[in-house]
Amino acid sequence: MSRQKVLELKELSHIYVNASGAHLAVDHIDLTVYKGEFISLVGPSGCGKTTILNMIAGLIAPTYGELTMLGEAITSPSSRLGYMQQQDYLYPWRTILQNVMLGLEIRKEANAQSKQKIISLLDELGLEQSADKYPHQLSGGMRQRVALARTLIIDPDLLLLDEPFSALDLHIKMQLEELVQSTLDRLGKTAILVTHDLAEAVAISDRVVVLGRNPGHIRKIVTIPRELRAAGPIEARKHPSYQACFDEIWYELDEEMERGGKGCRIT
Amino acid sequence: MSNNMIAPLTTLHKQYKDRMRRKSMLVLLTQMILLVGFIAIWEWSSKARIVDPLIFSSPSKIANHLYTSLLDGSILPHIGITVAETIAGFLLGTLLGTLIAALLWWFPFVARVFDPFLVVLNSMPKVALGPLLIVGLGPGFGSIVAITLLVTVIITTINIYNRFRETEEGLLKVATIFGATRFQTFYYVILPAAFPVIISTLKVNVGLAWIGVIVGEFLVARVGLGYLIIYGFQVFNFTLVLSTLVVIAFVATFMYQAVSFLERKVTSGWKDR
Repeated sequence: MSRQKVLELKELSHIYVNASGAHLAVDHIDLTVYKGEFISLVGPSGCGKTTILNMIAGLIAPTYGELTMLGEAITSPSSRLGYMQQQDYLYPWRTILQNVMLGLEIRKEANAQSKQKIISLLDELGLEQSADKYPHQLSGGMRQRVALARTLIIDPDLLLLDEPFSALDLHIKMQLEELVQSTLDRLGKTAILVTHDLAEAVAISDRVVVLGRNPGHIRKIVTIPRELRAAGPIEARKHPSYQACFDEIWYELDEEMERGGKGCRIT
Repeated sequence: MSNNMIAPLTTLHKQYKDRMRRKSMLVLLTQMILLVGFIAIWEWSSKARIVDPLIFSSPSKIANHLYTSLLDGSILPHIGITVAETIAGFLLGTLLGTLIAALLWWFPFVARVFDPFLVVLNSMPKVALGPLLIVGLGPGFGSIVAITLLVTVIITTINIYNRFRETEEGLLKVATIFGATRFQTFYYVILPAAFPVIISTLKVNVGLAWIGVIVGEFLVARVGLGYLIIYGFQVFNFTLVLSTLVVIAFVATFMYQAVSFLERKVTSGWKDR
């Protein structure tokens, strides 16, 4: 395999310490993500999905283990990384254009061409004529697309998607999945998606990482057949091999729920 | 079909607008009646000596006094100095309060240390420190603005600092992911997110500043609306006291409206979150 490794997690562990004690949240995660891959993390609540994402984002430091992106250790938020949250968190006091400009301004990369670049990116994402509007004038789906533009404008190598579709209506949600997947494919971006929605994970990903809880650990990594990935999220849901994949992951999660986790708490 | 629909729709809309207009007119009419009725009863009961005209004066005397003092311009310096003191007081109070709030946000340790002191200062009647300031700064403009500042700055600091701290985690995360420094986080997120609260604090401070200014003028001034009130009281000229109150009511309302206008300007783009 000559594929380029974008992200490597080696024996990654994290312990939260607070007034009520120390708590092992994530235990020995090993995962390698290659360029252009779309990875989903699924699992019950308390399985450390968000902790893993925050470590990759450089927001919290791993307690043990190694975490490297394109060969370099991640210690703080990196310019090669984009992050989409559950809600759009557009700044209500900024216009759409100014919202998308934010990352460039913070990095002092804004220049004369930025405005044109943003407008053409907004056009590509189906947001024509909205550059001068304020966030409250847009619908939820449009706002989340602006959030995608805000993430893409700084040209990150890796996108972290923390349930960005979960607050949307089903129809809008599937359209946005389609848009995100095709846009990332076109730009050759790598993505890690955290989701509660198994159907979404199967329809959009190359590989689905099933996590167990207490502490968070990898139960199984399911590779989605190429034909499903190639079909796109909406078509994939109708594909003959879709149900088998879905059932496999469903079974894993069922097992996890019944077993109720490892039950490891260090206090 | 659609043509048939349009006529009743416009009619319904017109009826609705008419109803709303009638309601507003009714409210305005009632307000007018109340005001005119109050003034009429006041005038009549003063003339008929049902209330003591020495204390309660009468609307005609007040109007007459206002007319002459405006005409000869003798009240204008008093209005000017009091308005200047009030504006200086509430602007400085809001500005300084915001600045202190920013420092508290920047240094969480300092914020924790000062928390109980702020609570004590906030519950204290600040005008009680007036005599101290007058001795320290000398009677006049400076000490009156200082009293006003004292009245407004603590509550401003507490309100705005709390708003800074309650900035939504998700908004902050956006900037953090872009690698924002602490100053950038403040400049791009914390401060603009707090603008509505800063403006509404400005509104509250307009009212508080009037208290500070009037009490300050009671204590030391030789000019200003507060001075006119205390002077009128000393010479038992309650027409002067009441007409000064009328002037204060007008000027204070105007100032409040000006700040409301500013509020609408600043937050015009983003009404909701």
